[in-house]
Amino acid sequence: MVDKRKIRLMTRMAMYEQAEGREDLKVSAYYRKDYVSMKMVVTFLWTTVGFGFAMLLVLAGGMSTWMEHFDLTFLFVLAAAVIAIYLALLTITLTVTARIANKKHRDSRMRVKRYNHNLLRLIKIYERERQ
Amino acid sequence: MDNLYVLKEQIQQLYAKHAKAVDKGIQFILALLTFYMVNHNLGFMGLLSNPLITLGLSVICAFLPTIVTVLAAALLVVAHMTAVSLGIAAVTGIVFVLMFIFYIRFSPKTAVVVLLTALAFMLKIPYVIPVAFGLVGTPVCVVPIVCGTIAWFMIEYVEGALSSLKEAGSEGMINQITVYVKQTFQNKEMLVMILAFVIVLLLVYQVRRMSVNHAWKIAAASGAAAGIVIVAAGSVVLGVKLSYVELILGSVAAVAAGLILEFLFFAVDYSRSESVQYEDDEYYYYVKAVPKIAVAVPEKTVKRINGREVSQETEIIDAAQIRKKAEQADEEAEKKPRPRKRAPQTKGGKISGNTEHLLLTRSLRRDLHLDDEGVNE
Repeated sequence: MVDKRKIRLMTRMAMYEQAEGREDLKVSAYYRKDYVSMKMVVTFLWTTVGFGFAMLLVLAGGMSTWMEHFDLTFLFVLAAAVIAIYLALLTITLTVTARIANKKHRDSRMRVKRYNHNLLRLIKIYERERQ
Repeated sequence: MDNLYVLKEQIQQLYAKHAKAVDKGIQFILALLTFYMVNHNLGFMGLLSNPLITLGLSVICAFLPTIVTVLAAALLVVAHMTAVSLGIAAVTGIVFVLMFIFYIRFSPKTAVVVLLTALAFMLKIPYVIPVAFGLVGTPVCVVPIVCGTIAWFMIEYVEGALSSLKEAGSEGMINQITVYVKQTFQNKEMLVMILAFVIVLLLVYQVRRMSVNHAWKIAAASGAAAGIVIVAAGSVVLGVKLSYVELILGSVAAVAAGLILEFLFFAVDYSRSESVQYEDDEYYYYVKAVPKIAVAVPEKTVKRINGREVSQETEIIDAAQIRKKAEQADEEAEKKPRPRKRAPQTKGGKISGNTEHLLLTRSLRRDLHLDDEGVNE
C-alpha cells in the first residue's frame, strides 16, 4: 500500500535536490572558513583583472591629457592614486564577497540540515517497513 | 474593481497550472525583443541580423537560465561592433567584462534588469524602470540599472556615429577608442539619466516602505515627479537636449506601471486597516495591520439531474474471477433455450419519453433520499 507520508517526504526532497540542492550540497561540503577564503581568493583575482581593464579604459579615454602633463611628479601622483583606488576597490569587493559567501554558506548548511533530517525520517520509515 | 480582482485570481490560477510554459514563453519573448533591439540598432553583421538566427537564438535562450540571454546579448553587441572597428568592439567587450566582474558575478539573478533597462530605452519608456524596481526590488537594483543605461548609450553612440567611425579606418584606431571612451563615459545625457534613475529608485523604495496609506501610489507618483524635475534640471544645467514630451509621457507610463504593480503585488484594503499599540519589557510597539484583498473566484457548478454516477475510486478487478464468471455464464446459456427475438418497437417517441421520465424520477428519488428511506424501512 502507498504510504502518503513517505511520498510527501520523497517529493519534497526530490524538489529540493533538483532546485537549490545541487548548489547547496556543493557549498556545504566545505568548512565555512574554507569556502569564504576560496571565494575571496577568486574575488581578488577577478578584481585585479577588472581593475586592470578599467585602467586600460581610463588610459584610453585620457591618453591625450596624460601625454600633456607627463613628468616624474605627475607619474608618482598617478601611481599613488592608482594604488589607493585599487586597495579601496579590493577592500570593498572582498568585504562584500565575505558577507555574501558567509550568508550563502549559512543558508546552504541550514537547508542541507533540513534535507538530512528528512533523509533520516525516510530511512526510519523504510526500516519500519522492513520489520 | 471586484471583477479585476477576480480576473487577477483567475490569471494566478492559470499561471499556477501552466507556470513552466508561461515562464518559457516570457523568457522567449524577452530574448527575442533583446536580440531584435541589438540587431535593429547595430545590424552591421548581415549574418547575425538574419531573423532566422535571431529566432533560433531566442528559442535556445528560452530553455536556458536568463543569465545566458544576457551573455548572448553582450556577445551579439560585441560581434556587431567588430564589423565597425576592432578597437570599439574591444572597449565594449571590456565594459561588459567589468559589469560581469563587479556585479553580475555576485547577483546573476538580477542580470535581467540590465536587459530590461536597455529594452525600456528602446521602447522610449526608460522612466518606468526605476519606479518599477523601486516598488518591487531593492536598492541594489541601482547597479544593474546603471549597467543597462551605460550599455544602451554605448549602442546609441555607435549607431549615431557609424559613418565617422568607419571613415577613421584602422589607422585612427587609437583615436577612435579615445573618442569612443570619452563620448560614452562623458555623455552628459547619460550622466543625467543615471543620476535621475538612482535618486528615483531610492526615493520610490523609501516611500513605498513607509506606513502611510496608499504608500505604493504615493511612491510611484513621487518617483515620476522627481524624475521629471531631476531630468529637466539636469538638462538645463548641463545643456543637454532632451525631449520633454517623451519625459512627461514616460513618467505617466511609469505611474501607470506603478499602479499595475500595486494591483498585482500589493492589493490591500486600507479602509479596514487597524492600528495596535502594546509594550513588553524593552519596547513600545506601534503596529499597523492592513488586510490583503482576497477575492474568491466564483466556481461554476453544473448539476446533472439525470447524469450517471461515476465512481471516483479505481476498482481493482480480479481477472481470474471474471474469467470464471464468464465460463459459468456460457455454461448456463448453453443449458437454457434461447428466447425469441422481439420485433423492434415502432413507438420510439413514446419510449424515449418514458425513459426520460423514469430516469428523472429515479434521480429525484436518489436526491431526496427516498430510496434510502425505503431500504431503511
